[in-house]
Amino acid sequence: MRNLLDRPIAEVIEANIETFKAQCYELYKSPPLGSLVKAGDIPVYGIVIDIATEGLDPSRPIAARGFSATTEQEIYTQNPQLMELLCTKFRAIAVGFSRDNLLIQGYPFEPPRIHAFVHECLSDELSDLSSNPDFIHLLLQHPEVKDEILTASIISISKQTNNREAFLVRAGKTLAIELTGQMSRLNAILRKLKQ
Amino acid sequence: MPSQQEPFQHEIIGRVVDGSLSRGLEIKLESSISIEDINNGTYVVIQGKHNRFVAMVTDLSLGAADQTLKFSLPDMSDPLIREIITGSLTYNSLSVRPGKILPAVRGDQSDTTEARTIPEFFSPVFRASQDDMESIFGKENENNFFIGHPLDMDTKICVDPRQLIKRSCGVFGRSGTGKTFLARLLMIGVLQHTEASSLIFDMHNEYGESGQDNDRGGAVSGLKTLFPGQVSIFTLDEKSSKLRKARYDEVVKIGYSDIEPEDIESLTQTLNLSDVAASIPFTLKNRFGNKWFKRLVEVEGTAASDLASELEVQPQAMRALRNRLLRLTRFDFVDENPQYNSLERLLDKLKDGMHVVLEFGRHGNDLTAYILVANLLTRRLHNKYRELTEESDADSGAGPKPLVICIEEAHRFLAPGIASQTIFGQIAREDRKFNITLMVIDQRPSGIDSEIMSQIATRISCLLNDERDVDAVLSGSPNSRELKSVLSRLNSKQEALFFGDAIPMPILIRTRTYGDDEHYSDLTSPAWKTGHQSSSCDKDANRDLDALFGDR
Repeated sequence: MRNLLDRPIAEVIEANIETFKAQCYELYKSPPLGSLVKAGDIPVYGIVIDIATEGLDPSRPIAARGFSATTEQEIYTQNPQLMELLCTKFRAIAVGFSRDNLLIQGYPFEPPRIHAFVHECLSDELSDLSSNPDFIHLLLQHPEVKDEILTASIISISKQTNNREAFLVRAGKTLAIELTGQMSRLNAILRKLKQ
Repeated sequence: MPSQQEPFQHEIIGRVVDGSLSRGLEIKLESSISIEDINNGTYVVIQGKHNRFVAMVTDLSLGAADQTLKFSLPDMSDPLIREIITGSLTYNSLSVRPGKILPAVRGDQSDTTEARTIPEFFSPVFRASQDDMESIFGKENENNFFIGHPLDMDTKICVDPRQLIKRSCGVFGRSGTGKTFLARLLMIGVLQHTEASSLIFDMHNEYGESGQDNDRGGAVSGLKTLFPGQVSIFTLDEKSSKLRKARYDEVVKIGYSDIEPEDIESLTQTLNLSDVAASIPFTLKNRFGNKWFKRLVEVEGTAASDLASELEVQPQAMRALRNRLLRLTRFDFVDENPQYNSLERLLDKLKDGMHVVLEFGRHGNDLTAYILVANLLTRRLHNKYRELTEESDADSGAGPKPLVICIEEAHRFLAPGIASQTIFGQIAREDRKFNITLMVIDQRPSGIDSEIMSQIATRISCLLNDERDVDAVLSGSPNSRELKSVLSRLNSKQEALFFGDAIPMPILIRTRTYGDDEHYSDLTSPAWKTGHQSSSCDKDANRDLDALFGDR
C-alpha cells in the first residue's frame, strides 16, 4: 500500500496560487472527486474539484468508433492507439501546503511547479486536514466549487478518517457558521452528508 | 497570580459575551451544557482577568445565529444534523447579575466586596462551588444562622440574625407556601444568635407549643418545646389552650382602662366606624381619663343622649360607637377589673430578654380581637421602650435590649390609609431608634403602604401569585426586574427568595427542613455549639483520605 501511495499518479501541467491541473499517468486513473492530493517535493495540497478525459491533440477531434463493437471494452481493444491519444486530467483547488512537515491550511505562497509529481495523500495528512476543517472556507469562497463538489469532498475525506462521525460534526458546524442566512442551502448539504 | 488562572477543577459552562453593569451580563453556554441543567436563581462564578465575580442567574434564553432557522428547520430527528446545528446555529444563554467579587485567592477568609465593575469579554463562567457560597454567605457559626440551601447544592446558606433585626424584615408568600415555617426558623435564629427578645402575635397558635404541618400532616414542635427556658407563652384564650393541651405561662386579661382611643381608631375599618364615631373616644378620654371605655359601655338609654350633648358629640355616632364597642366587652380576655396586670408581666418578660408567644386561641379568627390586642400591646411596648431609651440616653447607655415584634396579616395594620395612624406604621418608620423592629408576615404585600414597605430592609418571599404582590415585595430593590422572573417561578413549597440588608446577595433558597427529631436537634444543638462542625472542605478532605487509604 505504501509503495502504491509513494508512486506518483499524475504530473502538474498548469498551476497558479489557487488551483493546479495535473495529467494522470494512466487513462481514467484519476483520484476521485473531492479527494486530497499533494503536488511537488515541498507539497502543495489540493482537493480534486474537476476531472476530465480528452484528446491529447486538440486539433484532432475525437470521433465515435463503436459502430461495429458490442461493448465499450471492445472499442479500446480494437483501437489500442486510443490509450495513447487520450488522457485524463484533473483540477485541484489548493487548500494547504507543507511547512516543517506540518500541513498548514490556506493558499500556498507559491504554486507547485509544472511537471511536479502528484501523489495521493497519506492517512496522517488526511487527519491533519480533517482535525480542522478550515479548508471548507476556502472551498466555499472559490467560484468554481459547487455545493455538490463541496459535499463530495467532505464525504470523501470523512471516509478516510479514523473518526468519521466526529469529522462530519466538525465540518457540519463549520458549514453552518459559514452559511448563516442560507438555511435552505445548508439543509441541502446536510441532507447529503448524512447519507 | 492565582486569580488569573481558570479554576481548572471546574467545568467551564459558558463565556461572557455581552452585557453591562446596569443591565447584567449575557453568558453564552457551552454547547456541551444542557440549558435544562441550569435553574433560574442559581449562582455562577465568572473568572475575570483580575476578579472572581459571583452572579445570580436571572433569566435563561434560547438563541439562533440565523434568524431564518425557524422558517427552514433542518431534519432534527437525525442525530448528526442535530449535533451539527446545536451550538453552531443555535445557542443557549444565561442572563446573570453580578453581585459580589470574591477574594482573589480561593479559601481566603477576607470579605467579599460589592461588584462595581464587570468581567472582560469571554471570561469563563463556572457553577458556584460550595466554597464560593461559603465565602459569600458565611459558615454556620455563633454569628450566622443556617436558614436553607441553594437550589442546586447542599451548601448551607446562612443569615446573620443580628443584621436581620437591625431594621424591620418581612416574610411574604401566598397562603400555604411556608411563611410560618420560615418565620419560626428566623425567630429561632434571633433567639440563638442575638440578645434580642421577641414578641410573637401568634394568630393561629403555631409558634408556642406546637404548630401544624399541613403537608405532611401532624404537628411540629413550637418554640416553647424546643427552647423551654427562653420562651414564654401567654394566652388570650385559656379555654382553647386547655382544649389543645398546650402549656402556657400566663393568661392575658385586658382591663377596660387599658384600652386607649388610639386602639379604637385602628379598628375603624374592622368595626365599620365612621370617622366621627372614631374620634369620640378621644373626647371621652379627655373628659373621663382612663375610665372612658367603662363609662361609654355602661351608659344606657337617655343617659347616653345626655352624655352626647354634654360632650357635644353626635348622639347617633356615639350610639353606634357604643354598640360596636360592646363587642369588645364580650371577648373573655377583656375584663373590667383584671386581678393582675398581665400586660406588665408580659413587658417584664420581654425586658428580661425572654421570647414571648402570645397565643390568640379561638380569637385568632376574629380580626377585631387580633388588631385590638396587637395595637394595644405594641403601643405599650413602644412607650416603654421609648422611656427606656431616653433613660439610657441620659446615662449614656446602650439602650434596652432589642425587641422584635412579629405580626401576621401585617397589611391590616400597615395599609396605606391607616399605616400613618397605627403604632406599627410608626415602629416600621422610626422605632429602630428605640431598639424595636418588626417582622411582618403577610400574604398581601401589595396591601402594605409603600412608605412602610421601603423600611422593610430584609425581605423573604415565598411564591406570590398576584403580580401586584410581586411588585410590592420587589419595590425599591435595585434588581427588581431580574428578581421578578426568579420570584414568579418559585415552587409553592419550601422555596423562598431572600434579599435585602441581612444577606449579601439575593438568593433563592430551599428552606431548611423543620419537623422531625433530627432537625430539632440540629436546631437546638447546632454544630457550632457542639463542636461537630464538618464543613464542605472537611468532607472533601475526608473523601480524599478515604480514596487514598480506603476504610480507615
